Amino acid sequence: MIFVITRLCRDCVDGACVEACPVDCIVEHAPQGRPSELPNQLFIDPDQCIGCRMCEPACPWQAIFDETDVPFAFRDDIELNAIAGARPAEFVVPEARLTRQVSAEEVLANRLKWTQQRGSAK
Amino acid sequence: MLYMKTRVTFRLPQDLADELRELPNQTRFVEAALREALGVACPLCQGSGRCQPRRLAISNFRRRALPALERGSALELRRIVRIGRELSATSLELERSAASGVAFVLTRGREVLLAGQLERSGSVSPKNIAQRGES
Repeated sequence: MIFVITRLCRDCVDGACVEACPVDCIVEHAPQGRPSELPNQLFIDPDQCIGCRMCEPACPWQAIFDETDVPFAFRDDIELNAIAGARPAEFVVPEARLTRQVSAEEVLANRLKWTQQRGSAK
Repeated sequence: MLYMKTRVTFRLPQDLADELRELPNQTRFVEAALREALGVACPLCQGSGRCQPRRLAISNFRRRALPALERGSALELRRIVRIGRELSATSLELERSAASGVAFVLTRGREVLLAGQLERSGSVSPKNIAQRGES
């Protein structure tokens, strides 16, 4: 595994990283015949990622981290991304989505929200 | 050694049948045509008619210490990856080249399908598009 999409992506699911990835390794969970049990976010298939670093700056929510730099509060998301490599048949490369400009305040608020949720869950 | 061969009967349109009958050595001609047609097996399925899904292994940027891509060269890399998947390629080797660019070699088994250089501007300089390997 090289890069990881953390929960900062959840419910925002911007497609800029999908557009940036040259090997189509950014996927969403879309199992056949049943709803997804995974959170509404994108994942990086660790078996396909080549570590080119194109996705990291593309994400307006700053949700993508080098595996070795994932903040402690989001370390669980490394395992979530690994599911994409373990069950590739359940994942698809999503259609390109409209992306929007995000302010620094929104990025900070999103980060705070998920960090606090992680903290209160413990 | 005509007596050692098996007789096969098949139907043909009249015009083809007429042309075949005009040939001096019909058996040898049909045999050669059959062998040639059967000998050109599809390189993807080796004549089986079914392609097995193959995974394209692509060099890792970190392990190869490759330079960061610019937007244009990333788009070119994406095109090469997609071509490779369509051609059932098995490997895309990337290496740092002299001009701080990235050189690539796309192969299927031992057969080189495409090789060249990802330029920073995003254009590809193909060195060659190899013909189907003999070995």
